[in-house]
Amino acid sequence: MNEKVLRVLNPMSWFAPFDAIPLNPRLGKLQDKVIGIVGQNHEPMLYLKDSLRAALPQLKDIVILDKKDKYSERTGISKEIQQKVRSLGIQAAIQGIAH
Amino acid sequence: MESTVGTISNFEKMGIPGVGISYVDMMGQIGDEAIIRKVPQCRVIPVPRPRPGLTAEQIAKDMVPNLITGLTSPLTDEERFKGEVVPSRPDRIAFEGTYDEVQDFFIGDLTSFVDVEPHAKWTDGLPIIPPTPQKVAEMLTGTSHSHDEEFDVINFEADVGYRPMPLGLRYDIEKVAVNAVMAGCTPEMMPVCLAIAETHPGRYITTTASADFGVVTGPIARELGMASKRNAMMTGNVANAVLGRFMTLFRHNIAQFVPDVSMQHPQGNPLNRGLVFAENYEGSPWTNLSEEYGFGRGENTYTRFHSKGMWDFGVTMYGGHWDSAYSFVAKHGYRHGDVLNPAMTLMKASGMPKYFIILINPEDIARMADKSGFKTKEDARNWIYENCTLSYGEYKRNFAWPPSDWEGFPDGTGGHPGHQAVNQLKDLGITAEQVTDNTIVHLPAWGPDWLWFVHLGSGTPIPTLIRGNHCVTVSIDKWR
Repeated sequence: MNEKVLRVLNPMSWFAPFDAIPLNPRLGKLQDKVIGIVGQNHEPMLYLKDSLRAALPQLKDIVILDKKDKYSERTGISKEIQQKVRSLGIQAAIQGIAH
Repeated sequence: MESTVGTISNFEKMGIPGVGISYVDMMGQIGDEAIIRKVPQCRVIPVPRPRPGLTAEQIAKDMVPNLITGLTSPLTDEERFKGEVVPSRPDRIAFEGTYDEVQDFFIGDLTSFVDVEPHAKWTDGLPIIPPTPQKVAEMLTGTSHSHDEEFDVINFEADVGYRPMPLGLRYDIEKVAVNAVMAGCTPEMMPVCLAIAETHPGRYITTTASADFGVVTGPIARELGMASKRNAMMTGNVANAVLGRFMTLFRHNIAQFVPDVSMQHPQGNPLNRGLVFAENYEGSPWTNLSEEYGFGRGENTYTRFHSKGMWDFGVTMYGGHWDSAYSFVAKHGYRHGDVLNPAMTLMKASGMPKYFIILINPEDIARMADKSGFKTKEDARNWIYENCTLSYGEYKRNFAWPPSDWEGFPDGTGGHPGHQAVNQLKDLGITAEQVTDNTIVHLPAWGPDWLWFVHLGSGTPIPTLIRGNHCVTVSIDKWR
């Protein structure tokens, strides 16, 4: 039996076709505007704001949009974050380490 | 990680350039998640985990240049692409070789794991029954459905309110049959396997002890030889074992959970080894799961529960059997419902007291219906909710995952159990100003409907409490 050659089927699922979301054009260089950070769940994230501030003194502000990541497949990022993004005129966003 | 890619996709949709950060050992799955989230080219910066000699502060400094590059460097043609992406499907035949070579192929290269524990590629770690075309064809005789009928793997978000949503992974009935063969199932079990597939969520990322278990209700359980009485969750019953194993293989191969990537609990939950059993409702005055969810008492259904930990609790704490338990409560002037006090003590100590499941044998239920007056599940549910309470102060102290805004009396939105407790207080007309550490919070924190009873076992009155929730109950017969 051990020498008999067996053909076996693949047990894996596959990815469904989808419409790709194109990335927004990059900024060339960061302007004198706000950057937002979401997600402070892991320790390196606690130091990122200060590190960014040191590297990018021209930034008007760096805002922690939310300490906890509140992403939900059902609702997307929270309304609270969306409102902050719009009201602050955020030029770019960083999603921190979530898990 | 799922959140990382998901949030970036949201920002990109809002017109905001985004960059994510992920630990380097989790980058292997970022590409898959990016496809599922429809941002296949999203920019994610890998960083190492803190370790002796490499502080979190240093990691933050080191990642800054890459983040700036990610936010500023021009897009490539691939990143600009807008339109339909059609990922390639895997070949139907995965491998040809001897029996031993097939086993090695399904386990994969265990030497490739460096930062995480080794785990098998396409199995649960045990040898599998080789899914040859002949075996799979035999398995497909267990259902009248066509082998090429396709389905979406559902999203985990379906758990709350159970709204099936596509995750971005697809499978067909043949894939279910392949995994059923691998698990050791018989064709007669195929309808149950398809019900498991219908209800099982796709990959999600969690650091909690998340797991699922399934309950088969109805005469098909006996036809398949499933166990529902003493030791039903123990090893040795073939039908329970192979159906549980099918669930594990479905989770691994079709729902695409990955140990150490999508499942990140520090110790892991042994329930993920696959637990399926039959409901033992004969002789119970209460509704079984089929009836509770809109089917007839004799209809065959499959119920998926989501679960964390489990503990047994004994009525034996009151003397070893029901008569002594009721004598005890009478002697001490307790109420007859107090025989459930051990369960409530565990609920209060559970750390995240939002929802619970009690596995209890039908003899115990009949006795409680007679002696405690719990004629229905609702009677028992409401009694527990009324009597299982914590003070707001205890709740805060005992709660394993307090929200950062406890003191701010949040608005109660979202599904966080802390928020639910606050909602509960609001429902009672208690305002933020009136909340003190002595304010009473009832459990389960999400309300009396977040407590389920499942008929299971026989013999000694020792029910089992599970921290978990009902997800969905579906027909098995429609898959015949």
